[in-house]
Amino acid sequence: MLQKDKVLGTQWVPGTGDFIKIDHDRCDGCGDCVISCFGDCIGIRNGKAIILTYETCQECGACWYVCPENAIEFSWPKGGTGMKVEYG
Amino acid sequence: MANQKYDVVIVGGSFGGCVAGKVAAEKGLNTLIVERSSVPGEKVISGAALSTVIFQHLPWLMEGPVERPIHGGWNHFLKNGQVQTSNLMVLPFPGAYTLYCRPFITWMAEQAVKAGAKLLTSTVATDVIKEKGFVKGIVTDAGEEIRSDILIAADGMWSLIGIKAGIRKKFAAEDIFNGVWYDFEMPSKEDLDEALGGNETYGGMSWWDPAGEMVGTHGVVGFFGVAAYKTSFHFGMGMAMPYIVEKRVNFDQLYQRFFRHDYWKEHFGKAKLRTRMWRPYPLYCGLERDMKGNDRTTGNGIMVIGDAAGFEPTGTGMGIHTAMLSGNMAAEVAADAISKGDTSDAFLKRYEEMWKSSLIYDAINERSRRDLTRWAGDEAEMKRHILDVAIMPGLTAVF
Repeated sequence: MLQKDKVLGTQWVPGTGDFIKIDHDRCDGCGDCVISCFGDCIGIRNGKAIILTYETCQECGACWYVCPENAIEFSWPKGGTGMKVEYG
Repeated sequence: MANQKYDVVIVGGSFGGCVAGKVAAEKGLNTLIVERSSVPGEKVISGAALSTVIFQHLPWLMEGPVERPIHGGWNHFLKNGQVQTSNLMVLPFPGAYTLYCRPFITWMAEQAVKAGAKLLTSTVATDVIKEKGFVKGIVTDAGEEIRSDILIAADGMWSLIGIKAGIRKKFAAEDIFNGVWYDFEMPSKEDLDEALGGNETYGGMSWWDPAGEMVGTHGVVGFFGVAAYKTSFHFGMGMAMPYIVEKRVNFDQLYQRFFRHDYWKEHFGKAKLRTRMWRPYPLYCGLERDMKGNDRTTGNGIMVIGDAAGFEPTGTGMGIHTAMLSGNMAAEVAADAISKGDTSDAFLKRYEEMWKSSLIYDAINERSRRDLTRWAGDEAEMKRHILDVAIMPGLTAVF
């Protein structure tokens, strides 16, 4: 799926800041967060999860919920930034 | 805005927060709604149907921008590649109105502001201020402190403020459903009416896959829902989070299988895809006794409402209603607490007493809910319970 198709119909306002933080001391690279992310925002590099992009993140928190090691800290993008949708 | 003080600060300007803000302002409280988006509603997905039940409690909502009156809907069961349909519910009057969340919430926020509430947009509440065991306000992402006598956490299922305040816990992954919604537009209202079975007041459709032919059940119900608006509709599909991870579920591939189905081509072949969006929601978190130990909704100087409090009635589609009703109750209790000068947890427990003796508790307790996952793979039993759920009060054509 093309990057723009993933978030068809939604807009993304930059300036979010790093609102999802992954603690690499806790992360064991299991990849559950990668599967749970419908925006394909997370990847595994050198055995640890990393954020690839926030531009297709819809701020759902799935990664935060599924992480079995509690390695993900989830907060909100800076006010007024991030995803918006018209037909929601 | 720096270092201001309000009677009531509400974190989250969505369905519950806007009701709380409007009611608190009408009661003469100095009220602030803090909303992280630039326009209230712009981050909310999935559409909604408001049962007319809510208009009895909050009649002013009747003025809001709704899409389609609903008298009934369909249940569709897939079997052997064929589609069997049955009426979901048919009423002689509209039992619900569908709506897009964005314009409806934007309108609700306007009503709260008209009532005298202040609205602070593009602002995230990042933490709570605690003093002597009391929540006394929030810290914003601009680093400002906004002080309150009462804080109402209306920040959705994540409840980051409830967690920061120490009265809520993160839902477990097995309590979370995640789903992808597609928004489609039809060429005309007539095209959509025809696709809905030739009935313009059939606004909702549930698609059930008890045999797992389309999406596979494997311990979760395979479920699609369609909600119809004026000339457009939402098509949503969700599954339990651990299942998505375990089975590596790819919703878009599942949708593609569905779109190849003759039924889809015949009825919705003219539909144009406008939006792809997703959002998790709590699933059965209130099903078990005491809400799985995550049942606190009050603390010193704070009340939690809506999804943030776990008021999520899976199966009846009444989560927005419970958010609105709890927002109304929290505002009433806030006004009492402030007039009596007592914002302690002991006083605010009145809010808990109120929701536990209201239809919120009726909607979320284990007696009125059906854990359909229990009957996955047992087609006859699942069908019986789906139809059973579908005649419950409040379920009016919303998936």
